[in-house]
Amino acid sequence: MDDSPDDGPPAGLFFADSDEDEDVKMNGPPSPISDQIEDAKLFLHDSDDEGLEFERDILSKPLKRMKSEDNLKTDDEMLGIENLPHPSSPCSSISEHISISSEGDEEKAEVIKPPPAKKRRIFPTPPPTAPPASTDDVKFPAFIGEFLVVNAWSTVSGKGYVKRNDIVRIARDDDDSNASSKSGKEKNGANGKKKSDGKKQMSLTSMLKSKPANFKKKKADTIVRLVNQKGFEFGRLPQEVSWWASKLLDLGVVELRAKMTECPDKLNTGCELIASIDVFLLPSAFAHKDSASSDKPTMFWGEGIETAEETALRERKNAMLKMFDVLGLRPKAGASVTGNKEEELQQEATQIYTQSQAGKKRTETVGDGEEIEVEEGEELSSNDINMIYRKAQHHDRQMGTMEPAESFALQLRGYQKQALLWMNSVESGKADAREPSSMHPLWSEYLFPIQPSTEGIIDLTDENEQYFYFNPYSGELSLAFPKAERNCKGGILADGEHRSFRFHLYTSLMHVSWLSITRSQKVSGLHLDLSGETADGIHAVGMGKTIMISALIQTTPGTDEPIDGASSATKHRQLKLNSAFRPITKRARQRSRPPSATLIVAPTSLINQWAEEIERSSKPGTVDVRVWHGQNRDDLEAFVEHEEPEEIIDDEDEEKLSERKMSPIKVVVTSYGTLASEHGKSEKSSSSIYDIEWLRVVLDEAHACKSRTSKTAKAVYALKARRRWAVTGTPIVNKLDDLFSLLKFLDFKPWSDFSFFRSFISLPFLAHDPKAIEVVQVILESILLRREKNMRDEDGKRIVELPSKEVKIELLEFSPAERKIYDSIYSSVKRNFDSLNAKGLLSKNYTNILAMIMKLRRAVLHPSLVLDEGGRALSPTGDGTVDVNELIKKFSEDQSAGDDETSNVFAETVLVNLHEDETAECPICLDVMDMPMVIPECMHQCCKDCIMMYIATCETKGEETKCPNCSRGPIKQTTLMEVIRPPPSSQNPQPEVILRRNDFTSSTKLTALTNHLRRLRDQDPCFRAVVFSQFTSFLDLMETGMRREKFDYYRYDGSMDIKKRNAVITAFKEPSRTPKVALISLKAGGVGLNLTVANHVFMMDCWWNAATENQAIDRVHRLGQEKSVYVTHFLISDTIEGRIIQIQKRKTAIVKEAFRGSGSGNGKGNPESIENLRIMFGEKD
Amino acid sequence: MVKDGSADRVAFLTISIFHNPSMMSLPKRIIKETERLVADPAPGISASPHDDNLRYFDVTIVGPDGSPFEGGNFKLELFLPEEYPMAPPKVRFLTKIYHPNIDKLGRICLDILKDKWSPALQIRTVLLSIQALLSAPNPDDPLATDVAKHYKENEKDAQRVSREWTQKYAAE
Repeated sequence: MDDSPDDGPPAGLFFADSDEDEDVKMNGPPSPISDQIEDAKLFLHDSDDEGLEFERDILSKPLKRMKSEDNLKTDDEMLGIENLPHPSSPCSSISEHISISSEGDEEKAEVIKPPPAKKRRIFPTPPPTAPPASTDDVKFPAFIGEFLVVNAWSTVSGKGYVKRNDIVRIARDDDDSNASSKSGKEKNGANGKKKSDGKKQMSLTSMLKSKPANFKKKKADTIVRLVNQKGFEFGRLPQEVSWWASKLLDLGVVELRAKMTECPDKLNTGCELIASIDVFLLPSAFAHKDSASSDKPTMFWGEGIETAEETALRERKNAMLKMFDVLGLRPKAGASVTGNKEEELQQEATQIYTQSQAGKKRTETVGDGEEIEVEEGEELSSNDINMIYRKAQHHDRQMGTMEPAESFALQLRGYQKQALLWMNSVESGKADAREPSSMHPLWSEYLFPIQPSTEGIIDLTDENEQYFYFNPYSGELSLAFPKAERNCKGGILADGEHRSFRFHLYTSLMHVSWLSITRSQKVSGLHLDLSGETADGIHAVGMGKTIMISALIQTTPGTDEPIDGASSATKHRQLKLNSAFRPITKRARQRSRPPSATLIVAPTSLINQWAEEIERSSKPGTVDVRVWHGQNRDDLEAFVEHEEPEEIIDDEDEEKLSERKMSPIKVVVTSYGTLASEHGKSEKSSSSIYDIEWLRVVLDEAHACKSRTSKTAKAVYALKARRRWAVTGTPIVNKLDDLFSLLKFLDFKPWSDFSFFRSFISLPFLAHDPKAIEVVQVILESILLRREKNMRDEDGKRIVELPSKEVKIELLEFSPAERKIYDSIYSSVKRNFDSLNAKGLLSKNYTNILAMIMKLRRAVLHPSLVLDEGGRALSPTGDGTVDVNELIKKFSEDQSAGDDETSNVFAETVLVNLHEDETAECPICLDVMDMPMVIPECMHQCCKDCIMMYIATCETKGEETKCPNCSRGPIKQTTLMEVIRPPPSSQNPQPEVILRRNDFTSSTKLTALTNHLRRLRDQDPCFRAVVFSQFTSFLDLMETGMRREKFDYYRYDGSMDIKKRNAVITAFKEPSRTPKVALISLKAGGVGLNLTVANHVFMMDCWWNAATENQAIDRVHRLGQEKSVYVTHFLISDTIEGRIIQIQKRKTAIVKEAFRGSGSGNGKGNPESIENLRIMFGEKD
Repeated sequence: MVKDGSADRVAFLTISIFHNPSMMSLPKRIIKETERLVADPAPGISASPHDDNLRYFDVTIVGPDGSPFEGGNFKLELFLPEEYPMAPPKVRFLTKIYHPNIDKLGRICLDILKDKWSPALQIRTVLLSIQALLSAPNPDDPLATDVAKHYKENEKDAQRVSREWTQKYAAE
């Protein structure tokens, strides 16, 4: 190993001319081929597989420095050599130190190349990301400490390599063995040049090029070599140092300068060396990561699997932590994390996470198209979610208010004015209504230590104390004070739902969330709230989010936006995503005027409501709303760009500004579906919605895009906007990751970078690090506004006063026939379940069982939903009306065949008397007939219930069914006729009596509903009621029921297109003097709709979690409701519904994290779900 | 042959207690019927419910004029089962009576109390039917076969026995 002395030109230190033009093309450090071969031969005996691997590129080059002190002592404990000498010396190392040619002393270096060149070496071309502005204040490389390595070892034998107090260089392998590097010829040439002029050949461009390969490399070597002044490797750092040092060297974070503290004069292979190493931070350490790089396509299918980039990020972080630990650096303020423990937690978390990724959320289709959502993966308990929101709500009570613009036609409530102020200040970026000024929670502050000896090339004469900031979670460094501040214009408006906050006693210690434990342990050990069964505080309410946004749109029209500025960051990102195929021309056109239009994206069902609400809340002519959906997607740009023929006004001109406000504010409302399809389009050709730069984009029900890999989410991210708002009642549905998508949309850096979010929030959270929640709290504090209707204002008044809500649960009993059907289904399902349970196959057959449960749930509603008898119930079309006159005719025809003249007369009398005879007594119950039924054979009448019960009794006894009065028979249920006397109305004071065939089988629940509705009609002839069910097939039956009862009904379900849905809702809301009933599918209409015209709600079935039901109820019980709201839940006693209620309670109460970790991660139903199933089929209570 | 009726009485009561209706709410129909029986009794018939069991009635039927049972006050018990009016009431003579359709235990052979029951029938109609049965015994569909045989073979003599029994057991 003595090739080094021959060609190391003394002038070459610091690779002075690396930015020369001819070097730019160099790929990899140049090394003469001949040398390589020679070296390879030379060391063939001890080369190992590391030498065959691609070598890492080097962002930082070792720098040699002389130090004279020899005052460091070795610690006894550190003397043991843990690693056997590693006798590998791949050729690359040789070539590297040749190329580096570092033997010159520093004086020469100073003369030849002043320090700025060093920086230039690091950023030879304009740097891809600008270093922080304050970089100039700190001299680089900046000393941050020193440490002693006692068990470095030598790789050579012989004298004269190194002596005590020698300055030695610390080197990493170059990547010249990279097979993909440029041709050997080029290298050769370069090397030739290098040999002649001694310049450092490696250019940064080449290093950057090889960087991705670096990340992909699976087995990275960690060899860190000690190179003497002649450029000859004589030893290596021990592995416990090299693992992190190599990382940091590779990443260009630090520069290490070593001095031999102790070494034998004559080296033996493997002999111990002691060196003291000074650590310097390089400016590139402070460079920001470009978050946009996370948009690489691999992200989109690699959900959950740690990407190469994430791995690199984590490794860097760990290395940084270790270095800080070794250097003994302690933060002056802020976060601190001890390296190793953190590392363990993280690894554990990574495992958990990747395990739980196997099955995320699946939507199973069972039965007749009903969808079951199988939620898996890590969920947040409601306690956690509350904890998360708490901080964000902390100061809200004291917030100021703001009056809306004049064009706003409605009156805002106090809390809405607060919201307006907040949103306005966020958008204008002037002053934050809630000013956070604390340090970013992830960062800690460090003082640059004073270097013990200032001799050398670095001028540290600067008197000022220099601080730097370190993020122990990311390993990031910064010189600028990391303020906990918002850097996006926009936020999350999350008013509404209040999640309950309490435990149940029966949750054992195991079940209590780690979060609560860590919180309360500080105070009094484990704290359990024993409040028991008191009213669960799940309330939600429409808080008028639409109105608040409308006020914002009108109050902050954004006319003072700079034409081209402010949101450059956003634009930058947009460019990354879309620019590739985007025609540039449009862009140029937009610059003529600042963006002024607002885009609202909402679920399809709500877009018309938005348009209406905005129009309603604005004075005529002030706002121009366009619904952009379906077929009528006309030219948006024409709409948005269209202005009054007015000159463009200088922004400073205040008066004219106000004039300008007179031109209507443009608002476009579209749906997520439209947006997603437009996004697909925009990638191929162009789409006007993506060409326009919006002033503001508002996402309604923003949790619709909570899955960051969904088409919707990607479409939403790609919008160009200066201000972004996410409106949702549930920013976190049940996972912290839900929040990420919103942050991504808001472009809330750095959290909008998924690897970042995952590394510092998701994973720590899974590892039960309470910090995760704190971090989320701080994030939300600056971008989330959340009030609940039961929050109180400064005066202690509730911020929203709503009429009372009365919830009643009506427990119904099955009819014997229904009971029979239900029980038989139940027992077969239960048998099935028991056998699966016994075989331990529950989790594998999870969805199968869910399908069976679904059947039971349908059986509870109506037997014909589970019986395929070609159903009596499903067959009838029309309303079954029978013409009375025809009946009489037919009756007399029938009778004329016989001889019974009198019965004919009787029958006629009966039918004629139907009109008057409203008080006839039922022969069975002896009461005034309720829903009289006529037996067509003899025209005798009974109450519907009585005759039905009689027929049922006879059938079960096997007796013939006969008229109770005259024993004529047999009579059949389906031929009976119901006498309907429509209530007199203004148009028709004496309506015709109607006879209706009884060919419709009701069910207990349906009958209960119609009975309620009939009663309501008696009390309030123009009532409005809303009926929810999750089964559209049951909605079909209800429709028939409503038709038969002559109720105006309005059906609303997911199968209807948007036009139809809107028409239905509009018609339902129209005032009329007749009662109206809305039949709504829980899934399609459970969110967003505003149905305050109604004040009666009927819940026909129960959903797995109460929150969904409550959200549905809040369609009615929300802002704008003026009457008391009556809610009736129908439950059938002693059926699966009782169990569902049990699970509902459990869901609210049980804290789920305790189940995690040991979970069955196979995507087949987690322990909790299985537990729920056991409840379903458990012993009867 | 002659059995102490008290055992049956106990059995009857046991049944009625077993289906203890006093615990359940009384259907509107029964209340209505009771009211009407009290307010507007049928001639020759009285029925009043027990205080502790409103489904259990003490009934008295006056023997119809012109029948061998004339002058007799026949005591009966009537019980409305749970299924009433979907099932017929249970009625039994407590007073001994010599009638081809009524046996020694007081059980009555009457179609409307069995398969011809209809929920449109009521306590009143049942009792009227029983009264009519006293006027018109039907030995062709007998329950007490010896009495029926007696009526068929020698109706006059059988009516005499009936009268005697009425005097003996039902006078008062």
